[in-house]
Amino acid sequence: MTLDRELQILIPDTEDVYTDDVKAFFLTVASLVSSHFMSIIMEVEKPVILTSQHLNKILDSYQGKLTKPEYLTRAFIASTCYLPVIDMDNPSAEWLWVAKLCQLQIYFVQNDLPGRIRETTTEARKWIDPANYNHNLWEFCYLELQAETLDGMYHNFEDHRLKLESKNDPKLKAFIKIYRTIDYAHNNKSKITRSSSGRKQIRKSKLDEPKIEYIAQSDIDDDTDELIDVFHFSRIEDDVDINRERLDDPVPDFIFIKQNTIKATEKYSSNQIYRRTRAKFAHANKNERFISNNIRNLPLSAIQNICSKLWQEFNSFENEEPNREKKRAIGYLLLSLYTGYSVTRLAEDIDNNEKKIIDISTRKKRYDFIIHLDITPLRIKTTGIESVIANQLTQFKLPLPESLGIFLTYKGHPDTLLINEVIAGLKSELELPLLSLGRIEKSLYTIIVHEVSTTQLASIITSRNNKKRADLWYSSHSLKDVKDVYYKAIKIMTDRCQNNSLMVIEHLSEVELSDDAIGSQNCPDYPIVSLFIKHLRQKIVTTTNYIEKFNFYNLWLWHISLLLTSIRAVEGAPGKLKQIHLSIGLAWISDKEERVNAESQRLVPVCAFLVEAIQQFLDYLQQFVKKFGRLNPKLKLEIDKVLISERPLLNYIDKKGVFQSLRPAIINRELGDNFRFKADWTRHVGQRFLHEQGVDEAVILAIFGHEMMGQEAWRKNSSLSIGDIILHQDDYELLAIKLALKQVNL
Amino acid sequence: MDKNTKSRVSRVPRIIKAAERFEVHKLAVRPYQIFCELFSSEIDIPIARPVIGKKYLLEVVSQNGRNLFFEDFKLMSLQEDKTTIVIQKVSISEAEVERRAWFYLMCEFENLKPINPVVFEAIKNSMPTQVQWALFNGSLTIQRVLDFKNVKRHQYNYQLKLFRDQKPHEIPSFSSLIQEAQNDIRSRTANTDT
Repeated sequence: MTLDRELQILIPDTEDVYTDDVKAFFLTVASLVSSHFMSIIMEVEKPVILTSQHLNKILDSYQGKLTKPEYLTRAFIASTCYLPVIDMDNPSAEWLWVAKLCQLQIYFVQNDLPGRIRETTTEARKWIDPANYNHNLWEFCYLELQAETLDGMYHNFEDHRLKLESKNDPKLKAFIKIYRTIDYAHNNKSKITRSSSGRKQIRKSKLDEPKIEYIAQSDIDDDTDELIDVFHFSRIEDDVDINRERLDDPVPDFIFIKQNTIKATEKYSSNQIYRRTRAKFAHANKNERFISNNIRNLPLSAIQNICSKLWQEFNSFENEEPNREKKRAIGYLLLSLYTGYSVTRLAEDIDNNEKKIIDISTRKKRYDFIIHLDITPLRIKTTGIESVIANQLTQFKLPLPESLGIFLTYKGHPDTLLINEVIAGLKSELELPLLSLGRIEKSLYTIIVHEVSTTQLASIITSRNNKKRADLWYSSHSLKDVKDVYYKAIKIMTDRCQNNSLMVIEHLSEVELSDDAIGSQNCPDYPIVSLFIKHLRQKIVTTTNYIEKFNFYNLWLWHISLLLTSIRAVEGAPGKLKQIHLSIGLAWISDKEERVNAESQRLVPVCAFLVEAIQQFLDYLQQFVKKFGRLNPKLKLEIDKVLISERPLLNYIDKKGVFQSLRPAIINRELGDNFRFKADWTRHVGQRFLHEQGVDEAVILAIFGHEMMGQEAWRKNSSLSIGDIILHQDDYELLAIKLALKQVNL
Repeated sequence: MDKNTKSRVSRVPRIIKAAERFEVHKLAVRPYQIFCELFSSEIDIPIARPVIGKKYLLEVVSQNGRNLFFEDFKLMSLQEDKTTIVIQKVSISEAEVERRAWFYLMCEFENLKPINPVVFEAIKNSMPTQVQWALFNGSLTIQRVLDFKNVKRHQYNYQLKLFRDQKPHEIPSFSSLIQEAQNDIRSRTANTDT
């Protein structure tokens, strides 16, 4: 069988001078594997073997056009320069694996699957490089998953995929790319065609069309009553609406509201809607966070009773008509109990198959609840970053009870009337006159907050309040911790489910998760922080120029003090000398830009390491003035200002010899190429560490400045005392030990 | 008094406080900077130098009411503002000031044991040619220093080798830092495995 046609498609003729070499070598490599693999018969008259140096030269000549279609296979073949020279009689496992990929490409040409050729060659070319992050996956493929036949190989790959998937392993994303190569070939899949022809869709802007929009309440954080039922949208005369410009967040997109009466104008004016919504958010927030006797929250026993009753009813109905719709209503209420999301939101997600909250797959027999925490808008793209950040994942899955999941595969929207009917039934049977849909939807959150864990984890699991909480931005949590919290909460909730209580939670107890974590992707892992600070310290010690040395000492202390107090990276942090009480170990901090006034301060602990570092720095300043003050009298003036707290403690001498208070822009300019994490990475590390130490959430909120206005720890309205803050010096001291920080000791 | 300094410089020693407008002469800036940056870690600086009881006269140049010193950097780099110093104003030419400043530095340098190649390089690169000629009647070479101190060349070469590796530390770029962190983690897990 000649493969000229296939070869011509894979490696078309271009101006490339190596075309013949590459073609011949491709055939030679592909012929390493016999037709047992996938019944492709290879005949090579004379094997052509290229050396690594030659391949390397070829690869270099392809730079800049690696992703062009006609170079994909060429680049892949050339990238085998990382392998030792091929031994035709006894080829290594890696060469056999490459040969199989070559044969698969021939198959893809024969079956017209250009997408597969692109993905396989591109990924293989990258992974084959030992410096690549996925190289160990590549090794795993050819050492462990490779098999004699395509069939065997597919089974190995499928097993491994299932393993990764059940563990929520972050490697799954990369693995699935190479898995698809095998999957398509083994299962004879045809290519996916899309009906739309590209991105350019000539569609008129929505703004131009008059339309009627129905707005349903789907945010659980809102109150249970419906804010607005129906809106009339219509065109206005001159396309100008000043109100429209002002609305950015939660208010619906509209141009003009038909206004017949003055009353309607008031009620539905965009300004009013905006204000009402904001007020509701703020109100809900203030009332619910820490107060356990809030009437909005159901008592624990009531939640348990509801859960038990709902399961009873759920199991008593048949899946078939006519009872299916009633059962669906009950099912959605149960789902809301198990996830903490609103019924409307859940119905939207399942109906539109969005898979943002619930992932139901009949084929795989998996019914999952997706815990989602994607909080980093700007990710760092440096190669290898995955291995040095604390959290690799943005979401992971936990199973739902099977009977519930199976039922949900019957598609359909829950009927509001039936849901109300079910709730009315619960009201009367359980004697809970205040029961409402909203209260049921909030149950999981209530349980987690009051019985199991922190409000932060409750927000992560149920997504409740998650747009309003600043502390989520910094959070890092291991999958196992989140799962444990969820498991405990479900256990409490189903405590009164007689007979079937075992069945209701056993699905969770068997879950095995990887050691990864979800959360901020701007949180460096401890080793790289430790290394970076070590280098910075080394730099101070070895620098001789006095101004440079001064600057680096200040940069070092900036990082140390931000790490060990978790304050924000703002100009002049951590403040002036008089704000830091060295003997008690406490600092007054005012780092919130939006409300800078005398009352916006808070207290943070200053640990022993930091106290010593500051004292040594002060000694250094005095030495510095003594010696170099005689060179430049200005230095003395400025440093005296530092010592009498007229200037911030940390400064930077610029090229003109002017003192500038240290600020993120300077840090970025000086160290941006050495450490690319966003300026406030120290807070991410700090919060992760404090949570790992099991520090009380209220204290963490206080230290991070995430408390409600007027309730800061030092105010009379706060239940925290200064002692509560000071106590946590020790935790920061542990962080200093964990990061192996050392004093500068000049 | 400032108007005609040359003829009417007071020859009488005076006692002043170190805080009083006391600066380094502009021609002695570079030697003073080298001294402060490079010497302080090299020489044992006594913590409390007995000022009282030892008759010590510091010669200074007076300019616009300021006292400009150009010698005895060791003393000056340690002075507290409160301590008193006995000074004597002298009127010497700028060339003389420059020469004496560098001469002082050379003396301190020659006291160092062993010879520090980093300091030598700094001096050699900064000393003006005319000063080199004035002090050594030729350009400054390591051979002159070695001859003066009666040190063999190979001893110095040994020092040179020691110091060659002590370049100012460079913080690695972000990608190399990541690489380093990965290696660290790998070696650590390897250690725990065994």
